[in-house]
Amino acid sequence: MYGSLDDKALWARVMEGDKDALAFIYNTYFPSLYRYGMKLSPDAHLVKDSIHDLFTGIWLSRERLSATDSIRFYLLASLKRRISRQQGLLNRLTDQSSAAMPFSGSHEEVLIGEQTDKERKEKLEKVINGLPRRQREILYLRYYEGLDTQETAALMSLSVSSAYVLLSKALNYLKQHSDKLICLFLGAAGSAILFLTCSLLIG
Amino acid sequence: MTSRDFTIEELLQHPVFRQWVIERDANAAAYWQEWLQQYPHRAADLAKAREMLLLIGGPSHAPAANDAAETWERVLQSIDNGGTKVLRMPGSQMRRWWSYAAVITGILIMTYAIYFFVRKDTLRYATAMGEMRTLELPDHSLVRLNVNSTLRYSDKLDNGGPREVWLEGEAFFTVQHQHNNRRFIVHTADVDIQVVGTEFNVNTRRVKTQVVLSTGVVKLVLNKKGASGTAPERAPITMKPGDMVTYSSATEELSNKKVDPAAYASWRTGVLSYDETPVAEVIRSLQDNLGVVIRMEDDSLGLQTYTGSIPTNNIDVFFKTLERSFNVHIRKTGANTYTIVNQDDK
Repeated sequence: MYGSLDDKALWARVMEGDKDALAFIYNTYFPSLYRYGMKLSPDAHLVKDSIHDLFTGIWLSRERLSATDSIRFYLLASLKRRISRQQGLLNRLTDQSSAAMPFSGSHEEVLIGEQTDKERKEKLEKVINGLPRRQREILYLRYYEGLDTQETAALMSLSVSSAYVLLSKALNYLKQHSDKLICLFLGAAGSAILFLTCSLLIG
Repeated sequence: MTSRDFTIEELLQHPVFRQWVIERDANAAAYWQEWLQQYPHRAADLAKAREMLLLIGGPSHAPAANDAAETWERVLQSIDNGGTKVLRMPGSQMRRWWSYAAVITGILIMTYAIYFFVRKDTLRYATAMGEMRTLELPDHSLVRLNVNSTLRYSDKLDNGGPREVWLEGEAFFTVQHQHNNRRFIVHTADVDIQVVGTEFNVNTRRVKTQVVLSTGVVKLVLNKKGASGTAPERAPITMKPGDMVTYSSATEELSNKKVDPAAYASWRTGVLSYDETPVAEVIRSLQDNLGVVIRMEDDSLGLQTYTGSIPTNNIDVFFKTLERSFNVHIRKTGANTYTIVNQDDK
């Protein structure tokens, strides 16, 4: 029963050669890894290949792995390393500027959330794209993936204090801009009272 | 805006908040609904934090249905090959051809070996507790095998007759249609499930077989009492999508119900969903799927119903809802055993 084990114990199982434990970890984290990978690179094949390499690598070097108490952090960090290495190779071949690729959307993207009307979607994209890439990434890792600040900082090669600064900067920006959006949304939904509350918030 | 309890930052850091917004977990939703009743003036903040988190997630790519299984199969292959990389990015066409050649050679050798050593045997795949597996049959039908389950089929599966497999436990079948409408039959102790090409879930735990159809059409032949053969006793049942048929050949009990097929197949993604399900039944299902033993001090709790989803790696979600809704306390009494006691007796 792997669900009851904490990260450290589960990881120890893998190090001892328990393939089921690896399968359990894979099943738990695949969606997260895929989601994050697609944010780093819009190439689904590259993302899946990197996830494949990641898990194959873990298994084949299991005897040399070091202990971890955050499997999520370990996996996300390793995936990021692998994807940027692959991308570095590709970029050198195709000379795509790295700013155009990571943490930006492609045409086929699907919006999470139930409001899918076009206008709203465009506005959302504008807000989030108004943030520099690093700020988008730090928000995503800290709040969407739920890593703690230390882990987030390590993953982004930042000191913990600069991670705090970057995070609060990004969060402030988002707070200001999401006010407008909420009102748009509630207004559209026809909820007059909440709409009023909203106007008060902004005003 | 001042806040007395959770600030927007604290909301964003709250794991249950993430569960509510991202995973749309019913229990988490209940949690925040309750919270709002306590702090109604914080409705705007909660809405705002939710909006922000969705914004942070941004436009998101969900993996295709079989991405996870497919990639895992490749991982297993690579592991078995001792780390031979299976597929590379463009730029190394030669290496790619070499790996294809290696795979083909591997398949040839395996086929040869199977032909020689197990040609009279049936192939048998079993999963342990905590292990799920996706099998691709020779006809390219996919079987997602739930924990603690066994699938058998003859190596002659692809020899022209009907495709036949035997199941104990639980599995989700995605059967590939073949041009000649070749039948695919799943045998369980209670029924024969005959299909041509379709998707359905089969669960044979608890001395009965439960079949839930997602798409397509299924013909169900009920087995005679005590007999393990295929002799039908009643006329076959034709199932339509959304139908759930449960039959036990031991008790000859037959029931038919319209359900949401997704709820019965959600275990495939590591989530168990329940809709107005008696607590006793939820507990049995947790026992089947997670290997945990849960005892109730007061049996009347078993009759209450539960609606919500439980991640297979986090049973606490279920316990928290129980504690909140029914004034009980859950005590961990062993590695995988729990006892539900009334709050008053504590």
